[in-house]
Amino acid sequence: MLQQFPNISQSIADILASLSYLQGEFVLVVGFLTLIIGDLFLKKTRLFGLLCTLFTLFLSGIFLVLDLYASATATLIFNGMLVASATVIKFKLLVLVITLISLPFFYQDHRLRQHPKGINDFMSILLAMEIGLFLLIGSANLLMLYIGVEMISIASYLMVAYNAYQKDQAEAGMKYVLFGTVASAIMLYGISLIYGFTGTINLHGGAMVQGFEGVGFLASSISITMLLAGLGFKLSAVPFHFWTPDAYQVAPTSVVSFLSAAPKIAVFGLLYYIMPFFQEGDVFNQFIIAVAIASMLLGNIAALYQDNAKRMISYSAIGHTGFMLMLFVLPQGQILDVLFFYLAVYSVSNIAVFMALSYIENNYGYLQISQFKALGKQIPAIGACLVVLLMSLTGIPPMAGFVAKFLVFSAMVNAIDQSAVLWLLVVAVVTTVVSLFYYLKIPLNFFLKQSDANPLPAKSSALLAVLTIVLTVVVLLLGIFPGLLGGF
Amino acid sequence: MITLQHFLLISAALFALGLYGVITRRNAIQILMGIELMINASILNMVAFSKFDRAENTGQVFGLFIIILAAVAVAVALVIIMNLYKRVQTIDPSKTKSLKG
Repeated sequence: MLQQFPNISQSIADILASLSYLQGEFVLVVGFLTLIIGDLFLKKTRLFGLLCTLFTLFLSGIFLVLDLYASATATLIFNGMLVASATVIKFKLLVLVITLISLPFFYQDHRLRQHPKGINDFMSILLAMEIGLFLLIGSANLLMLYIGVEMISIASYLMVAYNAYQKDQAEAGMKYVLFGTVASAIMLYGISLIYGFTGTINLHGGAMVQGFEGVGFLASSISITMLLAGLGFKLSAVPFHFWTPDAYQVAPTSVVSFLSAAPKIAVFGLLYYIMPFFQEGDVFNQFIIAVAIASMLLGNIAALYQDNAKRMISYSAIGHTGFMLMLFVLPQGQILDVLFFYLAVYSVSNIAVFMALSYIENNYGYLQISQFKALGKQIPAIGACLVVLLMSLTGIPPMAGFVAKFLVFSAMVNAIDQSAVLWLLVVAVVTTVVSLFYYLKIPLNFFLKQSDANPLPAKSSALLAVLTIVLTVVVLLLGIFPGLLGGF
Repeated sequence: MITLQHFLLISAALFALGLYGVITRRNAIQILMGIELMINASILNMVAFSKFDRAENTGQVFGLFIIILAAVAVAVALVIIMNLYKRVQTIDPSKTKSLKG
């Protein structure tokens, strides 16, 4: 029997050796199972869900930190299905930190808290999504990539439609799930073509690059574009952005803040790993340039016309995606630190803005920017935080957003001899100026406009206010001492 | 003799039909059927290409994974669509107009 499978003992040895690299993921799997089974017995015990999720995430984080110090070189594990390297672990840790920040936010969101079935199911979806995010960041193979993307997609459909007993949410959920499955079907067809053209689904090694050179320009460009379309959907880059404003507007604010950060970090982490394998031809770069320019222009210009605060932030998120995509025309070696810093700063500021908006929504019931008039007199602390955070998102010194944008621009200027880079930079500068107009609409209404209404606050969600202030201080500190993030 | 070209032509036709269905249909369930056609096109591609990959059988394994994940995605989509139908008594995406912009 064994003669027929000469590789089997070697494969098993490889798998056994690889198990130790995935401790963080195993903890998440165990935590997920504990939560979903324990919830059957401890019905609606909110504390159990919180403790289980918190403990799982912390333990997984400890394993990741230990791995970070242990692993120096990149290794392929599980017969080339996954890759383990310090970069991968850094992206995983960033995702984990973002999840931990979002965790108290989920518990403060009144729309999730009032759900008749309780919040524990939501937490189990969150843990499952975390596994998907980790697998996507580490994937070295198109099969793993597809599984990771699908795990994230399915978890996020459920998160957006979690409150589907409300009409608007059910509607946004349906749009999201239909767009999402079409995008992943297109990506799948691209993957099947890549497999046919190159004969391999391993991203590493030279086989795929050689295969693309062999089949010619048209075939390789069609298949790569279809693959990137699926990833572009998860990044909510133009022209795959249709779901973003609707889903952001009606989904619970905490879910939106999580979905605007964590999946983006994972997909950017993956793109960072796969970029050298696709950059051989022109296709990848041209796709990135077109999508980045379109995202920056459409995101920032459409944001000007929004009155719903969450919708405005969703369009600005599309703009930020385009800004980060810009980096991917550079060679892989130059962008890691810049990309990581920008992602971290963007995620923290975005989550803090959503927390402030959620605080306002919980206390006053306001969602439109025009309703924010003269709120600055009532909640000056939140107002000041919003000013700092929005200035950081725009990129005004001394906030962290300025350092991030400065790093991106200086990395791009080094490669200015390509003509496309010049156009990218011009669009980036112009749209940054445009973004000032819509971001500063919120502080303008907060502090400068007068209002006759005298709203009575509901006095709740003090924790959200505290978290917003803490995150704002983090953004300020990172702006003044950007080295803090590079230390680990 | 059925060659690779025949398989590829059929799968391309399936994919195009599915995409056409997704774009033109006015019913969420019919859109899902179009999506299912698109996914099946890529399974067919995978298995057809796998003929030339006898040693590893990557395509066949990939096909199995696609079948499972497609079933999961469609189950989730159906749950969400059913929930919407209970609220608004329609599953026509163009008739649910409370979200705009």
